[in-house]
Amino acid sequence: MHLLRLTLIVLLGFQLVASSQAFSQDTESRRSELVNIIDLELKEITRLNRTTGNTKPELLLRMAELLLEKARLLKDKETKAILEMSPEQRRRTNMKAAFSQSNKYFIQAQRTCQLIAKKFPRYRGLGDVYYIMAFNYKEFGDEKKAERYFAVSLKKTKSGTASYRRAQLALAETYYNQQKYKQAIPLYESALRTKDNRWWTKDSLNLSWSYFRIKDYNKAIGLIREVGRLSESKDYVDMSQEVERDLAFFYTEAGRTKEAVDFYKNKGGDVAANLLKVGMQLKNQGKFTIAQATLEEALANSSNDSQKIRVQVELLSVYEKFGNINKHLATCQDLATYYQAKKLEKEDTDKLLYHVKRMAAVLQKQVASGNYSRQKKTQSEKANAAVSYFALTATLEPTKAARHQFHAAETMYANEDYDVAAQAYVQALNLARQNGDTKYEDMAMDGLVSTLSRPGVSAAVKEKYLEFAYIASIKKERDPKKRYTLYQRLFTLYADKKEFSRAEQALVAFRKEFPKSIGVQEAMLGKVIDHYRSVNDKNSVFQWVGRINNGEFVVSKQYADKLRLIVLTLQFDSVEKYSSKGDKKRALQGYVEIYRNKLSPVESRKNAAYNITILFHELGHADMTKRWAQNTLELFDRSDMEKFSPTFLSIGNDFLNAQRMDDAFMVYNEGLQKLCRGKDKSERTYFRNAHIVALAKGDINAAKNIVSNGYRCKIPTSDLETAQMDIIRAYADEGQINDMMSEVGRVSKVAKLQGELIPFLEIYRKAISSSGRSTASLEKQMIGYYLNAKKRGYSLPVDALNAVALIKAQDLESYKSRLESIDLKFPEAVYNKALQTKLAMLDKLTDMSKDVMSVGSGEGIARAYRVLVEAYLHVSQVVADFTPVGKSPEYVQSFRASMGQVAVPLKAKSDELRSEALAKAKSEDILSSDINFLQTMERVSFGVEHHPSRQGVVMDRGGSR
Amino acid sequence: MKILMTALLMSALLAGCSGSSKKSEGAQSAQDDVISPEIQQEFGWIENSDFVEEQTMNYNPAEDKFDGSLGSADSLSQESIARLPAPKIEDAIDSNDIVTKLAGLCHARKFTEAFQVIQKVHRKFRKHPAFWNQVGTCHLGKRDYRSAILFYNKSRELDSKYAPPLNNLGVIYQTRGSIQKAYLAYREASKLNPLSLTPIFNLAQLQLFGGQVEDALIAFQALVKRNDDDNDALAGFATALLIRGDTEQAVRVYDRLSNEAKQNPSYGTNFALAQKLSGDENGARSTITKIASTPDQSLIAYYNKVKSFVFQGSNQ
Repeated sequence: MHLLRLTLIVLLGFQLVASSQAFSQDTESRRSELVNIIDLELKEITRLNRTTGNTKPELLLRMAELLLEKARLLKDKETKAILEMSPEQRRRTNMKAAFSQSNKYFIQAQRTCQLIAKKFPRYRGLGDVYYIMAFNYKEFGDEKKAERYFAVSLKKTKSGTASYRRAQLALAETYYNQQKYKQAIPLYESALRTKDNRWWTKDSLNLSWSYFRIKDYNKAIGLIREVGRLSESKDYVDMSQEVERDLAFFYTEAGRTKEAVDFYKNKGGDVAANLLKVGMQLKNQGKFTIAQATLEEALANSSNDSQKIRVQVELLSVYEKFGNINKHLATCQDLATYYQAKKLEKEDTDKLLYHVKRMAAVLQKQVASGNYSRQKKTQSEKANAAVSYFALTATLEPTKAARHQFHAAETMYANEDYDVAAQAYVQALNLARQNGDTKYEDMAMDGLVSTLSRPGVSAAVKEKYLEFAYIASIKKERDPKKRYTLYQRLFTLYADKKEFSRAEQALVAFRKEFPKSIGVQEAMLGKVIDHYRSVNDKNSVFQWVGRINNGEFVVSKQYADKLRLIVLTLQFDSVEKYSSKGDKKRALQGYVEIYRNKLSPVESRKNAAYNITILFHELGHADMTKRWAQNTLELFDRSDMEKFSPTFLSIGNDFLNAQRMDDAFMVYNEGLQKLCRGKDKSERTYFRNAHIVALAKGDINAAKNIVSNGYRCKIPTSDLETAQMDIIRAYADEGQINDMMSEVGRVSKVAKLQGELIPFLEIYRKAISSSGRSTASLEKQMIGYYLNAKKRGYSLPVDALNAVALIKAQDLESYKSRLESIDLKFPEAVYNKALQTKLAMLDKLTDMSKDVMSVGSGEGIARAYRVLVEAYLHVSQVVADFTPVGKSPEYVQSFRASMGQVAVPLKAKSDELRSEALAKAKSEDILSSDINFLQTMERVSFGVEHHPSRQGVVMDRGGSR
Repeated sequence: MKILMTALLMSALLAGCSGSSKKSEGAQSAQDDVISPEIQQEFGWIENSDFVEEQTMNYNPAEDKFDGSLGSADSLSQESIARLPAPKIEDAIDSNDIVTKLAGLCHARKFTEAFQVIQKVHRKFRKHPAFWNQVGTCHLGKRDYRSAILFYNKSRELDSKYAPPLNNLGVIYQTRGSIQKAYLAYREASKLNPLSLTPIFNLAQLQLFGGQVEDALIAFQALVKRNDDDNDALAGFATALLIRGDTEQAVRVYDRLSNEAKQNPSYGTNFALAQKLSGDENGARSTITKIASTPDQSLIAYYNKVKSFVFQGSNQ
């Protein structure tokens, strides 16, 4: 057992030496040497065992110890070989084979121990046997079995012995390794009660960690400080480095960082360096919160830039891990300052650059993704941070500054912060130019142009950059398609700013480069010309049109026509001036141009046609006036006609005065059609004129059509009736009696017109009478109309009264004829009866004459008197002249004397009536041939008549005044 | 930098622009080119002077009568040349006075020429009532009563106190058979200008026809006094005397008629009747025999009665 202990110490001593001099000595040769020593002893022990027939458990135990040590040495060697392999080699290596040598000895040691335990169950040293077996299991990685065997080892070992304490430590360590700190602690506490072992410091460190793990920080810190204190002694293994390292960690974890700082300060150590280590360790353990605090403490205690840099570099990943952008950015900015001061190592620079780039990219991606589009504030913060990161990258990589600035601009563009984006693009552009980076110059310019076209760009930024952008782009851009667009945008910019002198320059430049782009040139020209039109700068308009006409700009025919129209329109603004200056010819020609231009809007053509009409009318050119009046009226609608109806009435009247009845009719009729059913009062005038002119030109059908239209157009009834009566009169004038009667028929049921129709019925009556046909029904109709009109108080013309009176007088004459037809003859009774009849008929005739006279017609009155005068005279004469036949002379004498008394009064009555008639004719201004008859009937039985050679004499001049 | 770049590009752009003098030429050219040569040619016949409005011929009442031989031809001829013989009317056509010329053309039934004159001068005479009265008379001559009325009314619109168109409307009414309307028109025309003889003449004719002998007698007597060889006036005067019963005087007046007038059925018939009633049987027969033409429809019955009375001595 002593040997075992000695060997272990020697081996451990070798190991320690080997580990402490890892980089100064040849570890491999030492390992080989140790293996050789073990092999020698193993050979000896094996011989002894063979000699004793394996009956000495001590020998078997020693052999097991040697096998275990050899296995461990071989395993170190195999491990080293594996570590020295390339990753690829390591990946292809069969690990079981690689560790086969060591594994073989572990197994032999294990079997040897198993043999001892089986063969010598009461062996005192079984605790060591189980210890070895537990150790083996530990090596095999079977912690469970290792734990069990260490426990058995502890049980089989006598307490208070060194082996017992060793077993306690081994088991404690096993628990420790399995993080079963609560189970490890009592074992450690028991085994380490005394500090008589130089390894106490090492094992106590584990115990302090165990305390730490169960958060018993006070014990942990107290114990580890003791470990540190004893490590200063040569009697103990020096664990001061571990203590210095872990104590800071313990303090930090316990929230007692200040004590850690004090500890290190008191100890005279580098506080920042230790905290840095702790921080790194914490970070590596994934304890980022504590790591951050530790590192920030380290930073606060850093005494030089180098430390600060190291700490801040470490902090970067911590901040990144927590997404603490602000601190991360601030750290980066600090480090960038060190970079600029050339204090940053390459490795640190790389780390910084990595972080800056990564964070810039991540933030840009977040902004561009639109995930934060509804959290505008957050998105803007990220965008601003990204821009700051890109600014840092530009600092760190000055040769790629344009690229980074470009990305910053892109980020702000994505954030729709176009004003800032525009500024960033400009910076990127300038940087790219400085670096000769054409790619990013182009990209920045594209970005700027695109940004400036966005709706959110402020006017100030546009004002500041737009012109620059376009001009710079045009200057730089080689792609004709882009130049094509840029010229147009530049033009539009100037046009919008009303800087037309520059806009025109852009137009000219565009024309030079893209002479075949007619459409765009036309649009630009349109804007320029429109501008000058809007400011009423006609001369400039004419100049531009002149340049176009001179061929400086190629435009389509349609466009040229439009321009001509514009010029025309402008010129016609001056028509009034032309007219006032007497240049009506030019005005007229201009209007014709407008009218004939197919591109002229209807309104322009309409106005032009109207003005042409007016000018030709003014000129007195009837044919042209008519032609253009027709053109105008074709384009006019009702509202136009209402507006200009007085003018067209004037034109129509002028045609009428010029005896151009057809033309006058055209104007009136067209005017009526346009005004039909409107509200313009002149509609009636157009109706009347159209109708009158239709009749005047002898076109009765046209007049009838006008009347029909009049009904459709709701012309007042009185006008329509007048028109209808005029048509009847026209037919009467023309002698078209049947047509006249047809028209009479149209209005015969209109009660108030019936009285006026009587004269025309009289014409018809005379016509059919002369043809020998009966007029009875017609006369009845006329009398009916008369009575109706009289009853209702409607108009009855003199001619109507004459006609009615003469019809009634016919009865009178007929009755007088019947009276005259009664012969007086004897016998006396017959005579008396006949005479009485005649006298009675005279009375009746007298009564009947009253009816005729009551009509109120002068002619009727005269005729009635004549009939009465003739009738009384007739009876008077036949009575006076009658001589009875076959009677005695006395009888005859007596009879005639008697009849003379009858005849004389009748003659006197006749004379009285005649005188009465003449007096009445004179007083009432009655004109009738019957009056002449009554005046001359005594001298000339048939009466004197006057038939002048002509029906009235026209009066050509006014004559004397 | 931006300013510099702008300036550079501007200089490049400016290089493409033309000079100002060229611009001015272009402007002038643009104005000249506005009116196409075709239209300039098409309306080249127009002169700006054509637009100058012709001076209106004002109406002067003192000049509104026929002068010279025309005016003294008969009792009405200062006012009307309707009753003048064709040669006299030719004189009117030759007149420099438009209204006179127009009257001549219309009474000579040279309507085409008449309307050409009207078309030519109507604007100049647009305010001249005598002109438009004459236009109406031209239409009346064509028996275009509607147009005649239209222009007579136009004449009246220009001067509501101008008598001729009213007289002439009376003629139309009379022609249409509306004696009473014609009578009123003549009477109104006569009132407008009491010195106008034509309405008096027309009125007297109607009065004589309708039995107002005394009024007619005065009128015809006045006309005869004014011009004692006016056959219409003499015949009217004579017939008025005949109707009134002054047969001997009537015969004397009839005898003053020209031979041509005596042969007119209208006048010869009553002259023969007057001769018969005064006992001049032979004269009566001679007169009625010399009547040159067949009386018209309105006169034929009366003529036959008179002729029968003259030859048969019957007064029945």
